[in-house]
Amino acid sequence: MNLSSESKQPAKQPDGQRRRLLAGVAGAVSLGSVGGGFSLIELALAKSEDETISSLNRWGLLIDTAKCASGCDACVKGCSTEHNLDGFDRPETDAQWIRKLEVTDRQTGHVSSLPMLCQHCEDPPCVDVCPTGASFRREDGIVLVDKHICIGCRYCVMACPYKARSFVHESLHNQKSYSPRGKGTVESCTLCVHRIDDDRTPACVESCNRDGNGAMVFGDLNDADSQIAQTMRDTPSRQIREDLGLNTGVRYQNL
Amino acid sequence: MSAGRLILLGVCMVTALVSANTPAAADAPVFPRGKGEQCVEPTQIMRKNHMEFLVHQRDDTVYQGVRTTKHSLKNCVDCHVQKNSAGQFIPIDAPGQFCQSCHEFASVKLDCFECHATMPDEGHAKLGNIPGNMESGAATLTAHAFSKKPFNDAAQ
Ligand code: SF4
Ligand code: SF4
Repeated sequence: MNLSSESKQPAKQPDGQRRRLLAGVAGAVSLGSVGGGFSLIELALAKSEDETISSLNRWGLLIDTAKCASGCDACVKGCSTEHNLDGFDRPETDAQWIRKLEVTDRQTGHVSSLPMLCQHCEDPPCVDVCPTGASFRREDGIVLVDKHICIGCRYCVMACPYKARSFVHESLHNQKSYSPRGKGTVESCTLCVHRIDDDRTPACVESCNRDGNGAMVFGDLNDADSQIAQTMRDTPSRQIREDLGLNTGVRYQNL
Repeated sequence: MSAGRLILLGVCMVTALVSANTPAAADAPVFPRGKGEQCVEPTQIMRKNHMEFLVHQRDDTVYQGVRTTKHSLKNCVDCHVQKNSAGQFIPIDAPGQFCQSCHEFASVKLDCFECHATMPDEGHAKLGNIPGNMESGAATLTAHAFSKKPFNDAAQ
């Protein structure tokens, strides 16, 4: 399983490398004796707001379907509140960035419950088909729509194997300042990129931990010391539709 | 009269008309002042070139995750949004508000707010201006209406 993120975007950013390096240094120092009463690690890890992202990181989610409970929708509610995805009471066309699915093993009849969202593919079909370049993959693995250049053709909606994308059909008001959304453009889970840029955890993960069953872990798949990378090394996990070879950033356990 | 002369005459007449219609103080937009003493760039530069700053910042943010606020649309809104007498934010694209008043005057459709928030998020109650703190765009608009100077020159 190759999780390394070969970036297709130009120019790796020296700043990001510095961030990583500093983190390494801080880690090494903290193993020794750090007196002085301030934390080098915090200093090193906080991304300053003018810092650019880096392909040294690859953000992802690990979802334990054994913990995820049927009927629980804490993650969906968390997402909805964070991004103000209030619908128009028209489930066929209302935006849906994350949804709960029940999947049944046809052989055994075993039913698993899991959240389905944009899988932040390393080779995203939505990006392949986009005629304008609006659908793109950030250097750190997050797949987004640049709504400034999206023409609303919805090719990406059709191309996504996970039905992860929604189209905004109606004029919207009351958007959140960090989550612009508007009529005529396509949207999907942003992995709460505004939070990640601020060193915080995505809203769904926070809600699952607080109100749900603690089934989701967020982290840097490229960082061998992160909880997510360690868990994925020590226990088996799967990609949904792994046959497509998309190298998803969202992985599932006990499925 | 040859076609060339006719065209020349036409051009002269149009120029004369346009000069006569140079925005006067009377019909210039009046809009709420921002907070503080000074905008993030000199006012003259902002009036002419705010869209350049915004587009630049937008690409840095969307593609590179740069979250500085100096030239961000969010910062514009946070600083220029007004509250009504009941203490509620007034959308910045509402008639008479900061963005809308000038865009209406210049007949430029304001697309930003089809997607972007028109007021700060809840929990930003500190933001927003005192109602009635207005300024007029007359002086600078008159001076700049027909100048096509590139942006660095505009500082002078
Ligand atoms: S899950 Fe769908 S929307 Fe997300 S990156 Fe993959 S193809 Fe694109
Ligand atoms: S709807 Fe937008 S993002 Fe999707 S393929 Fe068309 S232009 Fe690209």
